[in-house]
Amino acid sequence: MIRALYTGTSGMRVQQHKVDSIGNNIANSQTVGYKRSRPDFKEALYNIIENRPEEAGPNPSVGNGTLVGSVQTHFTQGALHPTNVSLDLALDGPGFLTVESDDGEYLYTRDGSLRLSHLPGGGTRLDNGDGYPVLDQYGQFFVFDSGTREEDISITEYGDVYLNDQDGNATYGGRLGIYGFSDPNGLERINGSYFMANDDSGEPVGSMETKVFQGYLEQSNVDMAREMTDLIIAQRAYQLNSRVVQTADEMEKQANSLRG
Amino acid sequence: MLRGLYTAATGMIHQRDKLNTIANNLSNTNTRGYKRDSVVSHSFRDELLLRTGGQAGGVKPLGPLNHGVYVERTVPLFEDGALEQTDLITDIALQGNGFFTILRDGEEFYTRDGTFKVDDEGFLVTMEGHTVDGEYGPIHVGQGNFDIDDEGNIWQDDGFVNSFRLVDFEDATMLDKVGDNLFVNNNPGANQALAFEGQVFQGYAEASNVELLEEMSNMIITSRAYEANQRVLQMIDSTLSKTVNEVGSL
Repeated sequence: MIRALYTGTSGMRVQQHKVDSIGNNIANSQTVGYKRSRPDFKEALYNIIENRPEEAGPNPSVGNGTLVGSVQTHFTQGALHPTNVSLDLALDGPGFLTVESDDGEYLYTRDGSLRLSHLPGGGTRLDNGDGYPVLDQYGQFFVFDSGTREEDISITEYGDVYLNDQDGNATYGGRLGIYGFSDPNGLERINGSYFMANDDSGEPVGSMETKVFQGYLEQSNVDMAREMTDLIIAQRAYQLNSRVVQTADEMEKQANSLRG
Repeated sequence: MLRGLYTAATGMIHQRDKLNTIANNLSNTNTRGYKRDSVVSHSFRDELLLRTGGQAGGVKPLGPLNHGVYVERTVPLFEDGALEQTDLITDIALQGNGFFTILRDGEEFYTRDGTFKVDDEGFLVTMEGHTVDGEYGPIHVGQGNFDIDDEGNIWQDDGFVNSFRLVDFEDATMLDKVGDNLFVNNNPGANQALAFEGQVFQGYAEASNVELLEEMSNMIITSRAYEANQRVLQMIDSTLSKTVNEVGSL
């Protein structure tokens, strides 16, 4: 078969992948703390062209199309949107909030919409929207008295948590565990806006340059104009590659009809 | 057999090879830093035709003739691709002739694809994890921010860090593609590395330089040329059929 048939198919396949990723970005354009992802393509291997006389010199090569080289998550800053809700936190900088999953694993997230949940044994605990407890810098939960209201909690830009009583006295409750990674792209993406550390991402390191803003939420960093442009490009590229497949098919047909 | 039969067959094979290259170009329309290939065709060696016999007898030369066509070279064309603004500090684009130097298993490769990342040890690497080489060894940027000036020097808060090892070649078209957006210099003796004289842009990615219009028209030309060669082959076949089936019959 003509190699172009497969080359064209590989082109269609990667463009399909691109459209999938654009679709996911657009679907999450309103998700708090969502980071857009982008596939990057690379050339597939090259082969030697044969059918040449011996005196023709070094063999030229022909490529086998394209592959998805990597899918990169772009950890650029999203816009901060004021909500005036006491336990809405936005991070400004490269760090992540730490929460503990039901399995006891540490998950990292940029989604800072927190709440207080009542513990069965009395008292309240600082959780995120999915009910996962938020961890401080020593890996401990933030636990308060059962009468604590959300507006009693104030958080500084360094992530220090204070509990204010009726008389205006503030009690220090610990510091939020905010961590950064050498290669955040190596983080494993767990459903939605959670990430998990692994060998590729490097160890979590306390991120001092990350600021916390109380009463704000970080918007997704998806730029609709960019996504729509990419979508048009991907669709046209898909179309072009389908034409290649069509042309290769026609040529095969002609070869087939040589012996009429 | 009529020699035109084989000539037409080389024509079909050649057009097929050309289509493969066009397909590869079109397939890489969205591959960053991709440089399109063009095919250089070459005719097979000329042979002198001789007529033997005839009224005067003896051997009389008639003139040269060749027997078809093959792919002489595939030449990458190094026009700059468009710059796409991505705002990522690890996306770096070159304008002007030249390449980034990449180390893969200690071997030097060259690329125009400047979409890099920082690995778990703080080194700047390609998406496949290969080292991006600097003038002063592998480039270490750690976790923080970094700035790159238009000459490829890398700066951080505490000053100069390293600079990209950017190279150009006497004849860049002699470089061979090996996939993964990498080029290799297989004749370091004949094709010397030169200093880079272009510009470096941080926060941009260089798009593929494939011209859709050109590739589409080449594709049409190629498929028609294939068809024409196929017709020639069929015609010769019908000539042969006449010879075999009609001339010999009584």
